[in-house]
Amino acid sequence: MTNLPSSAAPQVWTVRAKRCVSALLFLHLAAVIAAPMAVEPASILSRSVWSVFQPYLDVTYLNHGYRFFAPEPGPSHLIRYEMELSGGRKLQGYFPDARTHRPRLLYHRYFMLSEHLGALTDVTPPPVALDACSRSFGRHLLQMHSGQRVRLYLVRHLLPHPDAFVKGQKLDDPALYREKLLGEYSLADSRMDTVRR
Amino acid sequence: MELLSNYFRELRSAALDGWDRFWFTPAPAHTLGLVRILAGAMMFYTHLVWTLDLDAFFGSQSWLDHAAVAALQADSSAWSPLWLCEPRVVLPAVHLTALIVFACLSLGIWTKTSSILSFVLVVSYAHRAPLAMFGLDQINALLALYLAIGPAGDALSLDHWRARHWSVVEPQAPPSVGANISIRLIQLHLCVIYLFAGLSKLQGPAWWNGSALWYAFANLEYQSLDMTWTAHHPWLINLMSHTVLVWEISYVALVWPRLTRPLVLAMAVPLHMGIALCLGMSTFGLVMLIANVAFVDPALIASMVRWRQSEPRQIRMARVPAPHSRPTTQVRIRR
Repeated sequence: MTNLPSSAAPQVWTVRAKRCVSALLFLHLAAVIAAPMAVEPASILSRSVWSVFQPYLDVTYLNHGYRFFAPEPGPSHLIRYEMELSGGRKLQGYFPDARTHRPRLLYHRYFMLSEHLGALTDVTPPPVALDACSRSFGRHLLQMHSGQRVRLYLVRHLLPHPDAFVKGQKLDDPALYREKLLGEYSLADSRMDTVRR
Repeated sequence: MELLSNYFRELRSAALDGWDRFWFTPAPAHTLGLVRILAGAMMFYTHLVWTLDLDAFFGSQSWLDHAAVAALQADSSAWSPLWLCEPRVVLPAVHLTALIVFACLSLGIWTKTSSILSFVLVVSYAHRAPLAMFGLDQINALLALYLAIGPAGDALSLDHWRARHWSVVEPQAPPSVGANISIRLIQLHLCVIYLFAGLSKLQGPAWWNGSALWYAFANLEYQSLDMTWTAHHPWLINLMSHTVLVWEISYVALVWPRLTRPLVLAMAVPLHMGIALCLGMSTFGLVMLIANVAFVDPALIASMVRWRQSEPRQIRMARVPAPHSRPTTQVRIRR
């Protein structure tokens, strides 16, 4: 880096201070590299090193794999819901919804809810977090709309091959959507029991 | 044998000297100051948008309740103080405070305190609603961390401006090791991000056969600008996909040499602006560009600031020549 002319002299660090800070920098950089190294597929060594740094990485919110659009851009996910309101009325909706979630950053927050839930469905066996999050979404929707019962679906929106698109397939072709029931939830009792899976 | 021992002695000496130069050479704080202004503004906007749906994401009846977040963070040490702020009065008050803190960080007011608080706040929001977060929040957090470490208010800040105008002697913040360490950490972290973003793409066939960007453009949920016309020009999609991959993987090597750095940074602009405009992630695209500012020479930023400060006064001086009997005017011009 180029130094600028300055009237004041820069501070000089002692050797001891440099050694202490060097050790901290080394540990920090090791942690920063360990986080993406431990994302599957990962070696036993990578996972072991990561486990040492995990508490630090978690607390500082640096525990990320940085797999942006990797290994390749995949299908996106939406959450569709069907709700029974009091008096037998029905309500349907989905999120994210670009028409109601504005500005774009707010839309993206809703999109991340459905995207991350979609990612959880790809894990085998299904993690506890999948059910916990689905249930939480259901409870929120019921409380927001004063509903009686809600059924949640994960909608996977597949991407057309470029050749298919050139031949006329639309991006929103119904054939590109796959739906999966996440659960049916009720506020009838305070425990938010799953009615049916 | 002696040859080998000489080699290792020389290697050790060179490595230690290099490490010392890399981390402990005092640097002016102008680059850090510019990153602070931009990153603080981004943190302010990021959290301002939460205001529109604050209760739905952070309130007592939010999308993610205790059980959901506990399940997501089952093996994690993550915890958010926002769990203590759920009551209807407390949460808006904390949120308003957070916005003020981010504004202070951007403007450089009580910078040391506001930078540390900004980091705590960014992480607290992220840990409270982990499922709603994405790359933007990851970069916000790392920038907030490194701004909190260094003297981010030593340049281009209201703190510095106040010090200049209230002191009898003009206090020019000296180049500091702290500013250098902060900037180095941002630079290295950025290299790690691009390297792993690039290497992980090598696992996907679409990045090898060059169709990857088509699948990004064809994603209706991401799409903010219709780029599907590229399907009729496969070679263009191939070229863009391969360029992204090569740029990301080579960033870690080519951003350091003086000659290649401007090219690498110039390439970052269309790449991240492309993400911003085409894939509806303007905030993520911008925050990545803000992080890339860490590679801009502080002397360049300082000279631009001096030019901006002096230009109007020089114009004024040119119109009304100052008499020699008013030396104070000339002192002001030099500032």
